Amino acid sequence: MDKKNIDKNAWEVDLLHADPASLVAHYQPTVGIIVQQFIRRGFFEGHEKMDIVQAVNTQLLEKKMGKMQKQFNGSVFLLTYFSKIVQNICVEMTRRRKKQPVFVEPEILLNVEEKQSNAFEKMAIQDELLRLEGLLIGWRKRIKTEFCLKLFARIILEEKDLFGLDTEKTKLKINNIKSCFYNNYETLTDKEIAEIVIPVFNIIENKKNDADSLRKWIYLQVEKIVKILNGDPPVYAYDREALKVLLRFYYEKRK
Amino acid sequence: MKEGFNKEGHLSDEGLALYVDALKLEQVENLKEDIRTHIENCLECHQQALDLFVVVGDVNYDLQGTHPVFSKKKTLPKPVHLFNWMRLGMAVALFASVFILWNYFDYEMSTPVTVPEEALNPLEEKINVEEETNIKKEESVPIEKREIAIETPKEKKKEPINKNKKTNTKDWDIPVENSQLIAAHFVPSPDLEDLIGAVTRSDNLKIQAPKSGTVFKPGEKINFSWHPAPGTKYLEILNNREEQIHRIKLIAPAYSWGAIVSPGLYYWKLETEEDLIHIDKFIVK
Repeated sequence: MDKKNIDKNAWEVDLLHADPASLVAHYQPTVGIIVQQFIRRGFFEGHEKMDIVQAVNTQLLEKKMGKMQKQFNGSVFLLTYFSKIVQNICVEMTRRRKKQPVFVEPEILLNVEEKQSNAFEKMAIQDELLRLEGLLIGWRKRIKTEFCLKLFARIILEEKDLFGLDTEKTKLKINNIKSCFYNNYETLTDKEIAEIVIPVFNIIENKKNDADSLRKWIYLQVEKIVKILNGDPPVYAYDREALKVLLRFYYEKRK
Repeated sequence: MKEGFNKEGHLSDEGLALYVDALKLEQVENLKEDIRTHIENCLECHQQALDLFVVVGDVNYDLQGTHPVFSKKKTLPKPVHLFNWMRLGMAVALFASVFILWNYFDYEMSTPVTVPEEALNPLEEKINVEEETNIKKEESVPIEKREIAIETPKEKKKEPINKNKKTNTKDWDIPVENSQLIAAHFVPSPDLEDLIGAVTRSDNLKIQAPKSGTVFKPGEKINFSWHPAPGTKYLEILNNREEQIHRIKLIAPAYSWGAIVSPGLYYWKLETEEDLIHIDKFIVK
């Protein structure tokens, strides 16, 4: 029976118990991606990649796989759990080396925008876009937040952006949104944008908020996102303007 | 210690992996509230989760198989489910009608009286009806679909995870008509029952878990363990129809599996290359 074709995760779990060395071999691309990620952040040197991968594999085979056999409770995909274990190994190695990460400047986003970035920077951008994606997927009030973030970044709206807002009750107000945000609106201030949007939100949410409270709410979300993206201790230097650039990239790529 | 958390009160490796699985499968709404809240309030765990998300960012999780917690399987909505049952009912009704007609005309024809000309016509009709019934029966073929419908406890399994979500759980209640079908999943297999306790070759093997007849919840992790355990063994799980649903080669004297979501009576065997060592049963309910 070819279990691999039936349920990949179940097949991998079986392999963990029956032949952990083969599972490590099977997951080599994942090990490579994680080590590369650490190299990109400056924790390891690029030329060390194969040595680091080998060191990770040794730890996996000598210590971690046995523990995984006992501790893995099957409540998650094994691939995700394995990735976390490999990340932990890499973190431990960086601690021993006492190496500080490279501080990533958001200027690389501008380089990409101007098509001047190198492959290394492109990969870093790809990571940043994924981090933003993960952050947004898990965000509460995701639809409202994403709508507001698009306005914050002055992204030209499309019909699909009005999902959940375009109802019978909001029909008249929505037309105003369409006329304002379906074309370039970079000259509008945050307050003016909030004044256009708040009547629709009030109808949808059955509230009587003013434009200023919406503007503050948007700023609060932006501050939170910037804080999470920068990390603790910070390894990035995002601010509101850098986040705008990242958001534009993100939504451009998703088109 | 709460599930998904470590001693320090942060998310454990599995808690973080669960959050990332939820992101990948866009199932954050079905995540345990305490995990989600912790992520929102703990920058360190949020960072780690996002870093992990980046690692698996390019992996297509749709190909990863069935998730132990977040089922990706599109469960049949109730109208479709009922429709299948209605079709099955209609097929049964048609079959019953044909059977009655057949018996009636068979009786009429076998009586030693002269057969009137017109009595033959219904026979032709019967054949037509029978053909039609065959088509209906083939169309209904609801067996696989019924199996899928019964898998719905996998969906129900999500309920305790998402206490805040007010979903209409009634949609996923197993219809009354299914009860007979489910009962059939608990009928003991005479062949396998005979083998329980009659271990063919023990080597002083002692089974530690599960105890015979233990009842597990659908999707609950079942721990199998025994000792001593020299040599490779094969653990096999069968349903009450003696169909193999899982088989694994093991070196360690223990194994956990939590993929059974369909209620029923199950048997498990422990074998070497040559011999059956042990056979026992457990229930998923």
